[in-house]
Amino acid sequence: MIELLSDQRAIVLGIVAIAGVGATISTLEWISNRQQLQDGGLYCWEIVGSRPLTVGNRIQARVAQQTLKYESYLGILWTRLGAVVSVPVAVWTGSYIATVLSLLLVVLTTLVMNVRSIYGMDGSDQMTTQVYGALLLGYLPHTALALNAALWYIALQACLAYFTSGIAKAISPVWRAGGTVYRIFNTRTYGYEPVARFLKDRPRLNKFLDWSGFGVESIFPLALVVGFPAVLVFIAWGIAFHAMNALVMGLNSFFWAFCATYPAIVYVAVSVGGGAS
Amino acid sequence: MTTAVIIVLSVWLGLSALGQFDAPFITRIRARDHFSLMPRWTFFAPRPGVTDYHLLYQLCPDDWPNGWHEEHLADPRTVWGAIWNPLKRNKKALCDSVRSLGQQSKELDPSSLWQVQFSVPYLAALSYLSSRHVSESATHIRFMIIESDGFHAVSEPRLLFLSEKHSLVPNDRVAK
Repeated sequence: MIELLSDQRAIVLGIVAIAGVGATISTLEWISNRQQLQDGGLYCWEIVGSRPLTVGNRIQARVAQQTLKYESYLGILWTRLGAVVSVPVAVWTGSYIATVLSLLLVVLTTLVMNVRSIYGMDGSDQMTTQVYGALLLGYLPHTALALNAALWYIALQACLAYFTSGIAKAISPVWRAGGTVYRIFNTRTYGYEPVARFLKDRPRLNKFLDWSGFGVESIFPLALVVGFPAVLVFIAWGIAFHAMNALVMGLNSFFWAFCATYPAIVYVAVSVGGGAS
Repeated sequence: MTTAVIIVLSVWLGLSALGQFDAPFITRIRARDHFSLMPRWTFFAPRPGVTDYHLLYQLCPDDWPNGWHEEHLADPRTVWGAIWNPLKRNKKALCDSVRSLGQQSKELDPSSLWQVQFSVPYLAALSYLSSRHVSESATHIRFMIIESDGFHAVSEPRLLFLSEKHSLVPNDRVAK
């Protein structure tokens, strides 16, 4: 077991398989919502492209105008879909060139999406950018040390995300006042009426949910030093946390984007803390 | 090349950590971060979104002066949404737009408030509503953004933003 968790290729395969499911769903969601990318849509290029970066006659503006208008952008989304699916296959077959090229394609198309979408993007898109970007850099030199650095980067970035999120809530007067989870679940934007109804008038349960959420987030970096199998406690919490967020809040893409970092977290935990076989 | 990659990853991680703060130089870097390489991980903090935003529109003369319609940007949540939720981005886009409109309105002095009409979120909302609600009889449209408490409300919905009245009549129709 420990040998498998120390095997870089197996860990990378786990990461790109999980991230790939999320990125596939996310890209297909954009494609199915493409009406909003057309003229008159919420993300129509005529409007979202009217920014200093993308207007005028400079080269970057001309490139952006050509590549980010609806027809070209739809092509970019389909290209990303193909690239995202091909990454796990390339890693599985062990082809260096195919892995680097497919990762490069995913990273480039992801960056294009980040430029085009000035609103509507969320933390899962940020984490996806981090994961694929680090893996591309880690693969480029074709050395175990560089790939090791990329896996450490992904693990540390995930811990930074949880830690920042936990501390930001812990020092927020709004969160410390209590009942915030209920008030979020009570909204139509991020909530679910049956859950809100259940939590209403249950102040102790609400306080527990508030504090347990940001409490575990704040100590999440400990996952890297507790060794194996203790790290699995943090992983189990993370899976449950993101599954609940997907179900109640509709944050489906967060589940895949953040769970994709867990193989890297286990890899680092095993390297740092070792563990029982 | 391995050393270069390790240095790049270290700098990237360092900038990511610094990016969690609101220092002026971080804000300047973030303004140039068009590829969203510097993440921001303060989800739902320090001020979580605990209200809903609603986009409402009014067609003139049909609805004038008191008729308003809500533009639904997403369907109600279902269990299936845990797997497939393409419309979540539309609601997020409205939240982002409202925050951006609010921020820009705050930064402008009252005499310059008209400039908000040239902001991307304002134009996006206007373009979206205008394209969806073209009719022979309507000549103008305006929109407003309302904030409410959600399913179990404790207070009345509040008006956050009211747009100007904008013409729906294409220039060629005006010429005729």
